[in-house]
Amino acid sequence: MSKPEIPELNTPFVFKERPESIPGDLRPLWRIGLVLLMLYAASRGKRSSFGRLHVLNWALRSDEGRDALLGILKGQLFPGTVVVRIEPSLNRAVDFAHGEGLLKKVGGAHIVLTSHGEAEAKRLFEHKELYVSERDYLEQVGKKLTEKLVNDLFGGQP
Amino acid sequence: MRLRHLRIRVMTDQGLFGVDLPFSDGLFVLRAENSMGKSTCLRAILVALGMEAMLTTSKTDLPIPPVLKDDLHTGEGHASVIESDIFLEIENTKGERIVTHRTVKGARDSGLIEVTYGPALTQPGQHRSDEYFVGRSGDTTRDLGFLRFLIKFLGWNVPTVRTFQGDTRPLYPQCIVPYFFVEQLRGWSTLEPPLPTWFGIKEVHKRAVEYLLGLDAIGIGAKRLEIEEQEQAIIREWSTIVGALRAIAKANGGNAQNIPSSPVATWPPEIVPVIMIPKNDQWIPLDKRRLDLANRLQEIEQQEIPRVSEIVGNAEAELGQAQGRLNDRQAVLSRLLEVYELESDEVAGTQERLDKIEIDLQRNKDTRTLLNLGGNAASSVVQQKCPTCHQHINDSLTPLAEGQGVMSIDENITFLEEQQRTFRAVFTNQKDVVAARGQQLASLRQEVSNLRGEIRSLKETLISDGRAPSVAAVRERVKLREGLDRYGRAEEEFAGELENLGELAAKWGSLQGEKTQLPKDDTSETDRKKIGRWGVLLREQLRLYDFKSLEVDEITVSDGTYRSLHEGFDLPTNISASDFIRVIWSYLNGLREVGLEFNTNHPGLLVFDEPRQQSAKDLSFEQLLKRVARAGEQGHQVIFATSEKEATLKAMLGDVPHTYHAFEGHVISRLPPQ
Repeated sequence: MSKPEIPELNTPFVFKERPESIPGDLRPLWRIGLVLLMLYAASRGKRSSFGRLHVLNWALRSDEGRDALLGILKGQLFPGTVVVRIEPSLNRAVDFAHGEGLLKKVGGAHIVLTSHGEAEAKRLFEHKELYVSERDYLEQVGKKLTEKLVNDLFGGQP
Repeated sequence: MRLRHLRIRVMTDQGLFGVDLPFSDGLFVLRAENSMGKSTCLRAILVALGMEAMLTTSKTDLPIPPVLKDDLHTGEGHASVIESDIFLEIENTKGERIVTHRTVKGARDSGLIEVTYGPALTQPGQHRSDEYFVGRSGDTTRDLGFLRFLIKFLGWNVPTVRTFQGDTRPLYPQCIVPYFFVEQLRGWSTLEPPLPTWFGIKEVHKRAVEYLLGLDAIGIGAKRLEIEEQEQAIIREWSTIVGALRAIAKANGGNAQNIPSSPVATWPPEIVPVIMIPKNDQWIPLDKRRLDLANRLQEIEQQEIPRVSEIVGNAEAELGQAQGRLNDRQAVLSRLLEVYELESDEVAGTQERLDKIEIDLQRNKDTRTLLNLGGNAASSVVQQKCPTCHQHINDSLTPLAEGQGVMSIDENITFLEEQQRTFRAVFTNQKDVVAARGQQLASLRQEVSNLRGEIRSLKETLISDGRAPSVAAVRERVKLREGLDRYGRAEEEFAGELENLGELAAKWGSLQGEKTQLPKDDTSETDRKKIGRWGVLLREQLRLYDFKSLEVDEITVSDGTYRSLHEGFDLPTNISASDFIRVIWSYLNGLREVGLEFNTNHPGLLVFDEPRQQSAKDLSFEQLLKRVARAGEQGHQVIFATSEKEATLKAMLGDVPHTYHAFEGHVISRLPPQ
């Protein structure tokens, strides 16, 4: 059987790697800014435990999370009924922010904004086009999320 | 508007550099050799006034030469710029002064302008200050927008103008300033000043001249605009009513016809709008259908209701048929319901996907804003370097496969917007399909319920006493009455909405009348006097400056476009290059001089950077200098920056009143340490 000649097929295949699209909240710059806002707008003394940041981060990721945390804060939902997702990407963002001198660690498990970090956070917080829904949410949560509640959310171990 | 003092400060690795220019009223001549920093000073003035849109479309990069950004010639060598700042003191017609301060390079955001309320450069002291933003949307409309502040301070009552997109916005000052500030880069290349076009303002040159000359045309233009807006409102209302008319028809299973879909002035229209109702294979007008029903009702009401025993045979056959039809329709209905559920789920799925894309897009846009904002948050992360170990990092918080790259923010936004567009199209399509399916379902359910009613009454008829009246016959009467009522109501509602259309048509008519009464070209008698005077001043100067390319008497300023015309046409492009420059001199200086005799909005300020382009003869430049030197006695300010030879310039200036400010070597030079 003779093969039909199709010259177009007589070329080697070439595969080209294309850059990947990634979810916007995985951009380091975006998340670093978000961490600054969490400490600035929703933490006592611009200071928070690592676990507490994870709770805020989990809540901010989706509408379900946002409603769940608000429900808990209003006492309509029992802390034991939700599962807080720990996201390694938050750790990385905090590490970067630390490297940039925007925040520092105190007493092991706590994080606090440096004065440079606070100035930056203020700038982002006051920029009316940035982090619109996130800022609204963080303002709603305010300083109501206590470390004790965070402890309850993670299973109540002291 | 008067310029009072320009101060530039540049901190470099080799110490402090800078310049101070104290401007005076009347003619002010600034002399320095070419590429020594004259134009830098003039551009610095524009940048300090937030006018960078005159020079560039970039929103992030200020149109300032490298001398203020990275590399400064010291005369002996080069110095690296660490920080640079521009300060400009200006005065308004009330004699109030402010100082604007803009950082070109340094820790402060270049999108901010600090305004000090007081003559802080000429009389240092305690003055209050505020920060305003510039170069972002809202800088002309929002309270903290610098341009809004500036036009308020200068007392400019800028008009509202229409854009090509059909919305309205203030006439931006960047479109006005080029009429009295000619910078060297683009200013001498066109007869009409080059105005930024990307604001999309319609007939922007006309609007700017109308404003500067304070023409009545701008009021007439505004009236025209107002009529157009009212027209838009009527068009919107009209289409709402048309929608309501269609809905009435649809609710009765019909179709509205002959409705004018856009406003008309004559009412009622020649062909009267009606509702058409399907009857078997034909469409008949609703009123005709109602008449048919009424006739049928009358007909059977005249007969006595038949007894059961008389119709038993027929009723049994009818019952069999009706049951067969019902089974058939129910089977179709259940299949249809399944499809409907499936399609509704798809719509919900697409909606969810769209929501997710929207959130993701917002986050990406945030990141872009963060990048554009610059500043010093996470500066090594921005450069994709680890802040601690300085190795390369990916622009992602999750690990990627070896060698896998990440889309840039702009690519990612385009990618998401592309997806959004596709999903929106799919979504619209799916919603249409579901809506059509819903209608199909509703009519099928109606049919099934009718069939059940029919079966029920046939059964009742069959089991009832032979002497009793036929339930089926009674049911027909009831149904006829119901139908009559329903159609009657529909007709009433339809007529009511048509009446509303009639009112709108009357309004539309009177609006069209007003429109035809507006003067054809928008200028008034005074307007034409002002423009005529401008033409006289133009010709007078062209003769003075020795314009040779065309017959000067034939040159006028158009009272339609306000452009310079020759025998009624735009100036030909083949006039000599130096005559081209003479026209620009005469046109712009003429515009200023019209303000001496008429009430205009011209600020009485004229700035020319290198007016002696294209080697216009010494003689004509000398005449220009003499002419504008009268600015002092006229209470105006004219600023020329030139690289003319010192000896020639001195000779030309002679004894005309002026202030002379010359630089040997670099304009921006070393300052004693603070």
